[in-house]
Amino acid sequence: MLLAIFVGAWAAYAAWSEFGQNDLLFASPLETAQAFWDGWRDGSLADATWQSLRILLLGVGIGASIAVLFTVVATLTKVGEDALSLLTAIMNPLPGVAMLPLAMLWFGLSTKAVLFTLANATIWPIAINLTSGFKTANPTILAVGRNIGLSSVRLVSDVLAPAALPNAITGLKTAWAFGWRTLIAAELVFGVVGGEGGLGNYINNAKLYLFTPQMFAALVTIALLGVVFEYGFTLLERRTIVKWGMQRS
Amino acid sequence: MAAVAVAVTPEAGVLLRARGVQLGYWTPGGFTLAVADATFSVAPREKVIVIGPSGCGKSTLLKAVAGFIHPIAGEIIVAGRSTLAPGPDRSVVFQEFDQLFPWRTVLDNVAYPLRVNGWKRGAARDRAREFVELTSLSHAGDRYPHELSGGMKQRVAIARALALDPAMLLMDEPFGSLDMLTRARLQQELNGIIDRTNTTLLLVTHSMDEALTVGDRVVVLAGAPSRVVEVVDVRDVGEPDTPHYAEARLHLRSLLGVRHDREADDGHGH
Amino acid sequence: MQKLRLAAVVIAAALVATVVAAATARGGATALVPDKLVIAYQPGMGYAPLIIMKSQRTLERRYPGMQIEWRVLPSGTAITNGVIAGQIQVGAMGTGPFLVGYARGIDWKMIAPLNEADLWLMVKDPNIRTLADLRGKRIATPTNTSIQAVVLRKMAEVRLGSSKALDAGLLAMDHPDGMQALLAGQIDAHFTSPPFQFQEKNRGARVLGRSYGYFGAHTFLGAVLTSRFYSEYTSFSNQLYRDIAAAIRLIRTNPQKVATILQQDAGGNPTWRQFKQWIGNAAITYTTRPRGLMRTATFMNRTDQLPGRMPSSWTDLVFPPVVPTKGS
Repeated sequence: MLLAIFVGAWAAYAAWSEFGQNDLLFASPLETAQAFWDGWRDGSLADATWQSLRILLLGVGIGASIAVLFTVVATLTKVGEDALSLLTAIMNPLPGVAMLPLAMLWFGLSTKAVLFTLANATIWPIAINLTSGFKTANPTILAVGRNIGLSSVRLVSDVLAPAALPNAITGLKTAWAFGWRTLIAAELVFGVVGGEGGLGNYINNAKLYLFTPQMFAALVTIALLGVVFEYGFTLLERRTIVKWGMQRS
Repeated sequence: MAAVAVAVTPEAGVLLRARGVQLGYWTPGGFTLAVADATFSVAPREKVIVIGPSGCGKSTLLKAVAGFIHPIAGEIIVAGRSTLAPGPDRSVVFQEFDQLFPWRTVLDNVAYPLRVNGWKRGAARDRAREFVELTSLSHAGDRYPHELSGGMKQRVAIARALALDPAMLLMDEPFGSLDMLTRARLQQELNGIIDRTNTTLLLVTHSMDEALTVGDRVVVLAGAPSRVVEVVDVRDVGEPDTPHYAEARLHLRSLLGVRHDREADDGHGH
Repeated sequence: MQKLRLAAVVIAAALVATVVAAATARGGATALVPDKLVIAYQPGMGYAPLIIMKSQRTLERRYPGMQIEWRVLPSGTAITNGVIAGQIQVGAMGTGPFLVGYARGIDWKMIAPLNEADLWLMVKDPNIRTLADLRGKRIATPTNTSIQAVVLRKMAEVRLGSSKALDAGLLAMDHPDGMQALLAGQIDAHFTSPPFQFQEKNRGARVLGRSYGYFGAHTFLGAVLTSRFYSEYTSFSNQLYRDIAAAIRLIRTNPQKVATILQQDAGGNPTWRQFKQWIGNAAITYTTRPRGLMRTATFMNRTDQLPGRMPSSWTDLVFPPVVPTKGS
C-alpha cells in the first residue's frame, strides 16, 4: 500500500514537474521499469550484478577469514588481544572507501585494490563482534566442554564457536552491509574493476551516455538486492540462533 | 597449567581420598584461603554429600575434585590418580540451567560427549536414548534446551553425566535453582537413577533435607576458612517424618552453627 | 476512504512540488543579454581561448551589469550535467561528450570550436610495439565517451578488426593522473592530449598512434550552448563567437602574451616558455573551423557509441556564426 503511494508520487513528479519531465535527469517509474526489464533480459544488469556480488563474496570471505584468525590469536594470547584492540580502535571508524586511494597506490588499478579495500571494511566489524562473542561465551558450557574431555582445539571449534554464533552473524551482517556499500562506491570511483564492471560501473556508464532510466534501474536493483540480503540473513538466523533460542535482542 | 596425573597405588574400597586439602584463590587484596583442611573419603557406589553454609568453599572443593583447580596443599586421589585435570571419569552436573549446548537437541547433548570419547555414532545414539529414558525425558528427545523447563534441563545434564559411565558423579548444588516441589521430586528421581546405575556420587548442597534424603554419608564443612568438622552417617535415617530423621537434622544443624530457625534451603529458589 | 484521502494528499504534494520546481526555473526575462552567465570549461591549455577571455575580462567589460561566473570542472560529463540542469549556459568540452549529448537529445550545438588537435596514444613499455600488443592491457582515456576513447576504438577497428577489441582494458583517468600512472608503469597506455602528450614524450614515452591518422585533422574542443539559449540571446551568442575568434587570433599574433596569460592562470607552473613552445607545436591549432565532426559522428553511430539521433550534416552541429568557416 505504502509502496503504491510512493510509486504514484514518483510518477506524478515525473509527469508534472519541470525537473521530472527532463528525460535526461529523471526517469519515471514506467521508464525505469522498462529499463529494468530490458537490462535483465539482455543480461547486462545480470552480468553487472553477478560481477559485483562475486567480488563482494570474495572480499567478505577474505575479510572474515582474517578476522577469525585475528580473533583466535587475540583469544589465545595477551599480546594478540592488545594488538587487536588497538588495531580495531584505529581502523574501525575509517569508512571503507577511504582506503581505496591508498589501495590504488599500493596495488595499482586492479581487482586487488578493491579486494584490499573490501577486506578492510569487513575485518573490523567481524573481529569486534567475534571477540565479544568469545568473551561473553557462557563459562559454564566451557567448563562442561573441558569436563567431557575436549581438547583445546575442539573446545574452540565445538563450543566457543557455536556459542559465539549470534555475535558472528551480527558481525557478518554488518560486514556485508559495509562491504556492499564500499564496493559500489569503489566501483563508481574506480571505473572498471578487473575487466568487467559491476553495478557501480553500470551506473557510471549509464551516466556517461545519459541513460537515466538505466541509472534508476540500477538503483532499484541495488535496493532489491539489499532486501534479498536482509532476507537471506533472516533465514540464516531462523535456522540457527532462533531455532536454538540463542537470539539476543 | 594442568600438571600431569600421578599414579598412586589405588586403595582398596576407596574411590576418592581427600587428605589435608587446602584451597584458596587470589583477589586484588591478596590470597584468600577458602578451605583450610578437607579430609574425607568416598567408597565405590557410595553417595557422599558435602554440606556447609554459603561461601564455605564446598563448591571450590568440588571443583578441585573435578580438576578445574588444584589444591595448594594436601592431596586428592581418585581411583589411584592424583593431581587431576578435568575429565569424563568425574563428570559434573552444575547448578546453572544453561550447562547444556543450546545448539544441540536433548538427545544430541547426551550423545555428543560420548562421541567425543570414542563412541561410534550409532552406539552413542542408542546409549543416549537409554539415559534420556532413564531420566524420564523420552518425549523431549528432539527438543532444544531453550524449550525445556528448569527441571527438565537438569535431568538432561544428569543423563549426560551418567551416560559417560563416570567413576564418580559430581554434582554442584544441582537443584539449587529449582522450586521446592521440583527439587523434592528430582531428589527422589536422582536416588532411583543412582541406585539403578550403581554410580558413586559426590554432591554439594547447602540443604540439610537434601543431604538426608540423598546421602549415605554427609561431610560437614564449617568455619572460615572451612574444615571438615564431622562426617555423619545417615544411611538409616528414614523418611522425613520419622524421629530418627529429625534427630539427624538437628545434629547437622548444630554442626553447621545455624542460629536462626529459617534456613537457606527453605524453598526461596535462588 | 482512508486510502482515497491519502492518495489525494500525495497528489497534492506532487502538485506543490511541480509548482515549486516551475517557480524556481529561470524566470524568462526577455532581455537581449542574460542577467547571469555561467561558463564552464576544463583544465588544460586547449581551453586557451576561454582562458584569454577570462584573463582579459572581455565579457565583464562589455556587459558590466551581467553576473558572470567562470567555472573549472573536471570532466565533460560534469559540464553536460550542468547544462542539462540549467546551471551552466556555456560549456566547453571535447567532441566526444558533445556528440553523445546531442545524440541523447540535448538540444545543443557548438557556438565555436576552440581548436583541432592531434591526440596521441602514449606507451612507455618497450615491449609494446603495435596496437595488438595492447590487447588485454590497461589503457587510460579521460572517460569512456571521450574523443580519445572514440579514436582508440577506430584504431582497434582498423588494426584489430573490431572496435571493441580493447574496450575491456579501458580505464577512465583525468590527464594528470593518467600521465603519472603511465610514467610509473601502473597502466600500459595513455590516450591523452596536449600538453600531456608532449610532457610524456619528454619523459621517455613513445607515440603508438595519432588521431589524425584515423580521422584526419579534427576538432578537439568546442564551446557549446543550448538552442534555447541561442534563440533567446542570439546577438549575445553571435558576439560570443566573435570574442572567441578574437582570442584565437591573439594566440596567432602574440603567442608571447598568451603564454604569459596561461602561466599566470596555471599559478606559475608550467612556465610561459613551456606554454609558448606548446602553443607553437604543430599538433594543436586553435581555430573556429570545425573539422571531422561528421566523420567522427558517423563512426560513433556505426559502432553503437551514439545512442540516439544522428546529425545529418556538420551544420546541424553548429550555430550560424560557424557555418561560413566551411567546416566538416
